[in-house]
Amino acid sequence: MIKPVNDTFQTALVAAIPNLRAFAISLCGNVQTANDLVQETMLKAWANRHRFEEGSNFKAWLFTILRNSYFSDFRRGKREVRDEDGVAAASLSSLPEQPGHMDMIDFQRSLAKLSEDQKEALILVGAEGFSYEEAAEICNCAVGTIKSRVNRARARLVELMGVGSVEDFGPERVARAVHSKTS
Amino acid sequence: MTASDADGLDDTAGVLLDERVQAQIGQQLTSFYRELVNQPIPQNFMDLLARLDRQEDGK
Repeated sequence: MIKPVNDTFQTALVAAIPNLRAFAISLCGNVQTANDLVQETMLKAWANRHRFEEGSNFKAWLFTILRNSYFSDFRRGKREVRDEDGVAAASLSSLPEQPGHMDMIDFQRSLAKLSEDQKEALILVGAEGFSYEEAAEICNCAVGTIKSRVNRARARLVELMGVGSVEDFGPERVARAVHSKTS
Repeated sequence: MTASDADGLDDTAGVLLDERVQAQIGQQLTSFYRELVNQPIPQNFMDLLARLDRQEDGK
């Protein structure tokens, strides 16, 4: 009877790998570190598979394991990588011909400048599509905390990336818009 | 007529600008993430799973 349960578990685990990798790359900004992080998550999930409660959110459970591993082991010390340019090149070089590739690199560079808390909340809610409640559970914090982190992350990205877009509106309108915000 | 053409609507212009930038950033976030999700799974991940499976069989 054990085998079919394990097969189901393994199938669900495999299905979650692309999302776990995307989350890991977004978090640590380095593909090799992210791959290590995902493999560690898979090992931990497998070792603790009997502790997963049937009927609860499997993907959220996996994401919780991954982010806890990241914050406890990976972020500090030996595995940390802070090469923002290398980051972009490493994870996005697989599709260099894709239109908008440079935008993507710019975007990743800006993302890397967010605080860990803000980045995590933004990715979980804005990219992965978790609800605020699910994200709060994954990050082990209050729902209101997640909401404010997401808002601050978005505002910071506007600061970091908004300039190019703002120019599209013409100098006069920008001046007026900026004026209206500061007055 | 756009909001910024009208006198006294500077606040509206600011909000519209912000919304447009926000929408653009949301779009970039989504396509950035989608590209990562669509990357092929490295082979050693599948090797790891096969190893776990064999361990289980060996018990």
